[in-house]
Amino acid sequence: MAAPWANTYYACPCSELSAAAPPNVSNGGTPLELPGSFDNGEEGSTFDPHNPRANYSLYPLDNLLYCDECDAIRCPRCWIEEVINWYCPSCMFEVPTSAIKSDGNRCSRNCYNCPLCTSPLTISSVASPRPVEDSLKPSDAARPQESYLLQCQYCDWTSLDVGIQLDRPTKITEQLVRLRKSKDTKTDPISVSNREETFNNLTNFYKEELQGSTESQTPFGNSPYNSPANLARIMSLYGGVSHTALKKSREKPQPMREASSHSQGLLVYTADKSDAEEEILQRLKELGWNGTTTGEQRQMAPVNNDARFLGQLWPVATALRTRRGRRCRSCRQFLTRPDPKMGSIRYKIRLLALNFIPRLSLKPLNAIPPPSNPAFRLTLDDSPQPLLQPFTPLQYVLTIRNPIFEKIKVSLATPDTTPGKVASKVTILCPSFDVGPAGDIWDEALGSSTTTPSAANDGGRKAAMASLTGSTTDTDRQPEAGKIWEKTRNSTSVILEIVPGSLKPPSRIVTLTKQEREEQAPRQDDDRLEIAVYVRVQWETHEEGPEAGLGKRDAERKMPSGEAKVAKELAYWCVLDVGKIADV
Amino acid sequence: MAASNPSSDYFSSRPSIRTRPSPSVGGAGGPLSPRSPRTPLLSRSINAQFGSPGSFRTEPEDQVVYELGARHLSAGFAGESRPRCILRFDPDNGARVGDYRVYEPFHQKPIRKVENYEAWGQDYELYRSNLKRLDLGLVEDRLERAVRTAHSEHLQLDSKTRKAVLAVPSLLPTPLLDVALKVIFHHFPQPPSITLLTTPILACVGAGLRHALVVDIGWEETVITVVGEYKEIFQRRSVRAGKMLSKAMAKTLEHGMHGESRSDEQFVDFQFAEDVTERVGWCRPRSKPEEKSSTQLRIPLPGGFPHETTSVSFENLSDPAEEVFFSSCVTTNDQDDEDLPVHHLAHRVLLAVPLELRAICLSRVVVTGGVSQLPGLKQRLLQELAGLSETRGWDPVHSYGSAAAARTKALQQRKSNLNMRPVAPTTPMDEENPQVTFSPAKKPIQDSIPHSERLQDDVKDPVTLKAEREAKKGQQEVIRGDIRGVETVGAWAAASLVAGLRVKGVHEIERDDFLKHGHWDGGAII
Repeated sequence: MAAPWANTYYACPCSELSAAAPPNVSNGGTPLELPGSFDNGEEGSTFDPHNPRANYSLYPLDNLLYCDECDAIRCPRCWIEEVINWYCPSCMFEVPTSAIKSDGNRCSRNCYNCPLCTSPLTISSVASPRPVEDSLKPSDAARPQESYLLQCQYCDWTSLDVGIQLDRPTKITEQLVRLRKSKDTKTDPISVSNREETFNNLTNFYKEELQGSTESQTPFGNSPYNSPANLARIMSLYGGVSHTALKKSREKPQPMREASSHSQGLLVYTADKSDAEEEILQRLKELGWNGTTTGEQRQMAPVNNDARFLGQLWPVATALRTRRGRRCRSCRQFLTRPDPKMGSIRYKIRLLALNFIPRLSLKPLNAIPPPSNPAFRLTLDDSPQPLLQPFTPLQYVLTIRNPIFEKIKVSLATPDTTPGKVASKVTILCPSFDVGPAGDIWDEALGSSTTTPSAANDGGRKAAMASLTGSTTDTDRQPEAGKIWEKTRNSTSVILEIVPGSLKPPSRIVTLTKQEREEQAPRQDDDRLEIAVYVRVQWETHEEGPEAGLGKRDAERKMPSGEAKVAKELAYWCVLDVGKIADV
Repeated sequence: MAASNPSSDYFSSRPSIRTRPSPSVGGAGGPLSPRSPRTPLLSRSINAQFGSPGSFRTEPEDQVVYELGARHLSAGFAGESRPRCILRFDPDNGARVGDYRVYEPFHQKPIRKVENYEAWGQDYELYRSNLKRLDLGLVEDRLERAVRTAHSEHLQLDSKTRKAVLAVPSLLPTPLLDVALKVIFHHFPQPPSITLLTTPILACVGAGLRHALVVDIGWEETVITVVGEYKEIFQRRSVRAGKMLSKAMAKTLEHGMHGESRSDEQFVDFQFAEDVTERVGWCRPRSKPEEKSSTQLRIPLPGGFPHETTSVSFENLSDPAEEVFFSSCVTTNDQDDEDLPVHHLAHRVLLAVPLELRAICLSRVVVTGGVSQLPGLKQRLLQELAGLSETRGWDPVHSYGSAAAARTKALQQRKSNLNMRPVAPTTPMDEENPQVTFSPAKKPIQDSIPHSERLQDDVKDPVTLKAEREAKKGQQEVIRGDIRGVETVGAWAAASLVAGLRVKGVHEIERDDFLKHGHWDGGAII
């Protein structure tokens, strides 16, 4: 199960908010030399994860795709979706394209959902009351018809509640349509289908009117003069009026009538009498709060949009789902494409960002192991993370893992103090470093004896012991500025020093106005300490052909030395969640 | 609406179904443009001989219809009676992707204490018309997400391009309109053009009328528009609308729960107040019923224990509507022009339009907008209007003060003058009399010449009578004067109706033009 709140969020650089590069400051280390690609005037703005807009450009890494043609991260905003097939999630049948619109994007088979709680409905038969004088009847008399109803297994709603009883357990949709139509004819002043009727009446009325107004304008209906060119010629030869004059005379639009009766879609009420509203009030009094529908129930399906009372709810046909391919918005290549066969869950193409961009993860340096496995926690009350105390320096390990097969050069940048209401101080001790290439697992296993061992697992036995005991390799080691903390084959860890700020604004002498207080009031998640880090990744890659390099971003340029090698660069904002700040 | 405009063109009178779609003529006028006259006779014969029957049937291109309000986006296909989805804006759909905390058991929504009225329901609205403190970028983000949800989950569009119809409130601030157009144009499948329609006109169309007094009780404002011949003629606004109603409901609930003493603190959050308003709120009729029913409603409290309820008397639930829309305690003199009760505003709007139109509109009151669903509200509005026309008549002057005596004298004089002349009355009181008055010069001959001087008594002439009868046959008496309400199917359904009938919109914005110039100077002048 996914955690309810991801640890790291990645900002897709497609919106202007997240595309802005940080200023040329990178505390604690060498200033970043940003190439000229970020010469927009917005330079200097930092990404604020507490900005309400930030929610719309931050994604967990597994929700992002990567376009390898454009060398860019792709998020739902910058990919195009293409429906490959439609299917019903309940019966798993694929629906042909032609039937989709007419069925309202809903399953036309026997799949229905409960209008109260949205769980699937089952068809069950009603035990018909057994006639008492059974013995008097001849044995071959017509047996009482068995009837069926739709039942919700979760909340015990049955279609009997709204007076639906079905004759057959099959072709539910047809029967329901028929029942709804027959309900229309009953005189219920607040019938939910009044609206459909009015709409249809209006449509017919307007259609007739439009037809009439067009017909009346062609007086030469079936004569040979109905060609405009002919007519114009003849009129100019014989007529007193020229063609233009004729046209002008027609310029006056034929007035369209207005609807005058109910059959034309006119529904009238007067100040004294309105059956519908009185009926509604009467029922409101009788049924009370529990008899009315909630907003969610009303908006679940168009059928129930006007249902004011529970008795008006109609079973909801299961909405179809789609399987979609995704294309890059700029180069139109497929980023993901599922197997078009229904039932297959394989993907033909799948360019996940997971496999292309470095993954960041943050954990405390001296992590206290969780008291118990979170899977066995019984209550949610004990928060998995201890609260952060304001103004207490904390050290965290930031690990960057490289998923690609090239060695990458990473530069990190973050503002000194986090933007937003709570100003926490953040320092990255080593902001630029290299991360080794990813390879096969076998490479590591085979190469571990020959290649230079990394700092963490040099002494095999000691490292093994350390990993078993769960403690860090050497507890006496102190984080140093400019030094890498830990390095493995394809990941590098650096130390982050964080001083959480206080949730309370600094005390002021001047009393705040009401509006200022409103602005300063903490919103949701303001107590969450999140650090925005600007990650810039550079690497060199071998290009297969000369045309592969065309149309790339200008940030990428041919290396003067090696013709085949191409330097590539990727830069994005990344938001690391540290935890909640204690309100003291 | 341009129902009649395009059809006035001579050439367009040809039924367009018959003409084969010619890709070369596409663009502005299409096959109906007067620049490309064609001879349908010839083309028809060709079709009959060589054309396959398929060429006759033009695939009806479906259009996507959007309705944008301050708090919701409805989307669906043209020609359908209901939108496929109504997406409401609330704080939940502003969460990050991958934030599943809402689904956790015992998830508690943080209740924000809202002190000032401005911030009430702020998280639940897409925009407000005061753009000063509005982040347009955020509006764009939210709208973009809503459009994406509508497309991929509810409409499930394939990659075919479709034209779009966008229904917006009239006088939607231009930057917001710009944002909305940008989002829809940018979103895939990118529509080639968007037709803009405004909600008052649509409400009028959706009621089947040509003229109407449209009372749109929305979220931020109540907009009252006089629509004549599908054109907005006069419009006035009041801040008494849904927002104020839900705030008043919150206050009522609070009093019911805690008594008057602790009214300074906010316990009722927006969502609860809104829910109560929608589910059990109502509006009482003008004449109070004698018997005081003491029905109590039990309303479960949100966030509390599952069975914790509060009880509110049914009568009290009609207080907010009473207080907000038809407040009787305050006289109109003390009120701001933008803060008029709805019936006073309607009265003022009617006063401002010409007499003929006023009479027509008075019997075509169309109440629309989200709050109009409140049971009893529509009728109450009519009752109040009737009351106002009784007590005040249709005199623009509210109070004559010391000049009252002079006025009555003048009126009497006028009346005596009127009595002397046997002309059809012209006072506004006689609106129920549909007789049109003519100047003596233009008067029909029957009236201007006395009977005795006529050569032939054509009043009783059977031929004339018959001719008049025949002429009257097709016509219908225009109902006017008496106060009457007309139901409408709503803005979205009307937009779908308009789009489904293939009426060409007046404000149609082409995609290319919009992308090149923006809609200020390129696409359309709005």
